[in-house]
Amino acid sequence: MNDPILIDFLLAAGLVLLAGFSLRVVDLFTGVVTFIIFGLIMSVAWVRLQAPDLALAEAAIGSGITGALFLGAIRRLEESTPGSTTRPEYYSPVQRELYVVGVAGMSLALYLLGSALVPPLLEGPAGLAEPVSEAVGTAGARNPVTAIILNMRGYDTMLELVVLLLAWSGVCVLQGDLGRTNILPATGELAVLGAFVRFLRHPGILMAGYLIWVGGDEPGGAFQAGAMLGGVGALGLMAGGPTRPLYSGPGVRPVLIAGVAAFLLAGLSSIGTGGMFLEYRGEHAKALLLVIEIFSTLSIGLVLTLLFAACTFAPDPGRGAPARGGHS
Amino acid sequence: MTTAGLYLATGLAVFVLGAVGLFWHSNLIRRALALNFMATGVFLFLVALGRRSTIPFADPVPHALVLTGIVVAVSTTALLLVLICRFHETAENKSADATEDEKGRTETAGDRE
Repeated sequence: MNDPILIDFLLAAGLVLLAGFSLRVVDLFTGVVTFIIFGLIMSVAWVRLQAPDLALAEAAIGSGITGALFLGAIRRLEESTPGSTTRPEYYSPVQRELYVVGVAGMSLALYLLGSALVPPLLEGPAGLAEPVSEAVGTAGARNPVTAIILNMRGYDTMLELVVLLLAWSGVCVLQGDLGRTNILPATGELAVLGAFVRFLRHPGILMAGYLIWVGGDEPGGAFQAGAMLGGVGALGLMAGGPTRPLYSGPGVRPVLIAGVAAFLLAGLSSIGTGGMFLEYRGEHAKALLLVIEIFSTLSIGLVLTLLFAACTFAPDPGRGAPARGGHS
Repeated sequence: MTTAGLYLATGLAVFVLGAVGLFWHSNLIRRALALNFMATGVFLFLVALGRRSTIPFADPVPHALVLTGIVVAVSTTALLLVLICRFHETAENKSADATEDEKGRTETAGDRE
């Protein structure tokens, strides 16, 4: 298992080539599609590195949702400034040489630094792996990654949900609500897409529920499930577009904060039973983690859907969008 | 060369391509893309470091760190893309875009001659 086999070399070469091609290709759309392919190959690489949780997250979030965000933004930019995503960038011969020098020089510098620092790490002490595998039995989840994320590093994960909310607040500051306009008319191809989404949403929601449940023992968990919900939401938006003010609608804000609220309440309840804040042990741990995961999944799914909407649809100028500069 | 070594080198290469691209390209969307490649390079490096020879299984701690990182990266990307879109949609920058567009066209035309 320690020596790389053919597939490892193919994956490594493919990743480097796709990254280079994605950044250098003239058409941005091609670049983003290459980025999505890169993400899918990346998730195979995660499997080879024995990180199936990351493979799921990479396929759903790293390549899926991120790719959708990029495609939405490109479509929107092409509407506001036509030609901006297909215009070739101009580089002088000196700049082209600088690129090669930059890539070669930085690779060499980091390689030398890495070859000095990394070998002692790879052969060094096992770090936290042993304590984690001992503590997993009482942590309420047999999948060590889920146990770390929700229990041992609960603080980080709670604040990660806060980061999602912060990103969303930033987006709200930058642009107002989407308004009542039906942005995409549901005709022709879009009618087919609409039917497809109606067909797909229930299996999607079921899949998200399965990912939450299975995340305790096997690869999966709140983030993968949340990305699943976000994907269903984004597809729904693409098929129909918002028909009512999307961001300020009733129920949006309670669901947005549900994940953080569940984390806080569960954390406080663990103080009540004699533990520390966000410390779950014993028989109640599994139930508490499950509650946290369900509410976090709802929050993550909604935030990702809203972030996709914000990237894809320009705000309706009539509906309290921030002023477009003083001179217009 | 071990599997960990191969993926460490891959992560390094992807990071370098992203880092150089971030500063080299002028298109903002492409810079956001480069930032994502940088992040993925770091993630790959971090997880490959978890394949230590002293433990028989993959270290789950970097997996959890990277899972957090992936979600933070998607939040950053979304905020960044909305910023870029708003930047291009404001009136002043629209005219700046047009000038740059013309400049780019003449330069590209000059390059072809």
